[in-house]
Amino acid sequence: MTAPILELQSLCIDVVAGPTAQRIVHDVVLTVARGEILGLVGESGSGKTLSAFAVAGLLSERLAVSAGEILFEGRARSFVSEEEMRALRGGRIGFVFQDPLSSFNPVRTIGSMLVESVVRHQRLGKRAARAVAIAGLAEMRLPGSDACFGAYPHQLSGGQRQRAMLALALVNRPSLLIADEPTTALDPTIQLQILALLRRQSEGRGSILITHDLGVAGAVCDRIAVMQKGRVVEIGPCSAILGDPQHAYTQRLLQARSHA
Amino acid sequence: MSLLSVEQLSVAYGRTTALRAASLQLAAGEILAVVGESGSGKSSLARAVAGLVKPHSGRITLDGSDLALRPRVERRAIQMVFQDPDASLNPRHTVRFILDEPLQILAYGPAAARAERIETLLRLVQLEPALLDRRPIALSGGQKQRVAIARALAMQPRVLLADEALSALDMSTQSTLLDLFASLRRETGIAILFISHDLAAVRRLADRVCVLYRGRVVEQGDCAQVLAAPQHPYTKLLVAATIDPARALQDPAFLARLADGVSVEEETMQ
Ligand SMILES: Nc1ncnc2c1ncn2[C@@H]1O[C@H](COP(=O)(O)OP(=O)(O)OP(=O)(O)O)[C@@H](O)[C@H]1O
Ligand SMILES: Nc1ncnc2c1ncn2[C@@H]1O[C@H](COP(=O)(O)OP(=O)(O)OP(=O)(O)O)[C@@H](O)[C@H]1O
Ligand SMILES: [Mg+2]
Ligand SMILES: [Mg+2]
Repeated sequence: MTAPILELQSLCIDVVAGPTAQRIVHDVVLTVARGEILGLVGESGSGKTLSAFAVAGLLSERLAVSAGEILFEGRARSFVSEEEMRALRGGRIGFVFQDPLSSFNPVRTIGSMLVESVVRHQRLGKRAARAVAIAGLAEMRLPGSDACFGAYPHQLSGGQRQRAMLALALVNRPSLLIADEPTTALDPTIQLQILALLRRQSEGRGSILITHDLGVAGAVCDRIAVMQKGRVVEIGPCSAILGDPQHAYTQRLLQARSHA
Repeated sequence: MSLLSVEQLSVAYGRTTALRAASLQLAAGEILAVVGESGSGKSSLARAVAGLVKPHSGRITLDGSDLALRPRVERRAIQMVFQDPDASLNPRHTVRFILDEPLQILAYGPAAARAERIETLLRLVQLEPALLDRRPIALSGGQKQRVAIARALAMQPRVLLADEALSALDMSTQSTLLDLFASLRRETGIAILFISHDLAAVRRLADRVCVLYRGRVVEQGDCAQVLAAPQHPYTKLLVAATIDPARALQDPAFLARLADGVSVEEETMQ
């Protein structure tokens, strides 16, 4: 058996800004295998984004991993330098932020961010990188034309921005993709096409898909982990979690869904 | 007479026309859903109604009078919840300040009354009072979205423009907020323009639905009727895509149809 791409061993995250540290993520244990899409669902505020931030080394200075370990491709995070982490992000680790507007650099065009990332991680020349960037946008069903390539983030619609963010996360074919609510701004016709693409590309990659949409989770994920109040309360294959949920919170979620 | 009326509204950004001659009506207590392809002009419509972009042409009236000719303060009756909550929450302010500011503008009352009102607003959107002293950066995506909703409601608007306002919420919280919108319109007569990609939520909440495609209103009518018997090719695709996503993803022919989109012939047949 090959080692998992990602392993979280009792991950804890604390707020360290105040006089006393306050724990907001408790003992999260997860693995993501190569070729697997793990769905992370749960209550708003339950720690999905912060757990993902911890993996990508994106926690703000007011927050810290206070216990546990993160293994990426078998290597413990505590031995990875800040500089190495920066090189991994955007390269072997692709990250789709929940808030594309605030995570993009507002003064850079979509095209220039893509090209820079391809040049840096794939060591291609500007011209070749430009072609890769345009293909990446097309894959997301965005025109490579100036309307998108040359646009600043605020000039795109919410769903266009979200797809530009996906293009940026995927353009270097990462071995780990962490996508935080990547399709909330997409209408169902485009959403399905993007999900199909994530599924197609998932071979050889480990993916974490954070979503509140159980329909989406059920359609593309292999396993689902359910979080509530900073803890993983249930984890298992899709069919078990959606078909025969054990935890009261998961049952409540499924009930809310059938009322919609 | 309708409370809000949008007549032949067009919105352009330089050479890009985002909305072309859109017309719609909203009565007090009514919920109109706006659905449509990504980039079809939904947010542009809402921003124009909120007075944040100047229409290229057309008219927006509230109680029958042209908003462009009325004093700015009358716009307070129209509040918007933005698709990106970060865009509307000042990162320097605490949640308490963010919610208190509209109450002060409204001259809601002394500090104690305002504090009580803030607590009520938090409860309505299912947020803990413990969040009051935090700034937006220390909130989760769904918490920010709910602060933005509470802030808009604090203004006691007559029209709420909700642009994907529930998109980051788990299903159980979303369900509570759908109930909140439904009871507000019953009790206060608030009118809601509910922009959403979530057809299940639209079905549950809206009276009527308006479908935008490439900047045009291509279909408008009773919500249940439109979703049960869609007429425009885009609406048909949209409804088909939501029936069973898991199955759709296993169906290459259907995915190919989605990728083709709406052909020019189909569109001109309308
Ligand atoms: N800097 C901070 N200080 C204190 N608490 C914080 C800070 N940042 C986040 N939190 C809290 O940590 C919890 C987890 O946040 P996180 O963003 O991971 O939630 P989430 O599961 O992604 O929720 P959502 O689905 O709403 O995006 C939330 O309750 C949030 O309020
Ligand atoms: N500030 C801007 N400058 C230039 N073009 C813009 C600007 N804002 C929006 N657009 C363009 O106008 C069109 C309509 O955008 P709008 O945001 O209204 O779409 P939308 O229906 O809300 O889409 P989504 O569902 O993806 O949020 C898009 O093609 C977009 O690229
Ligand atoms: Mg989150
Ligand atoms: Mg929009």
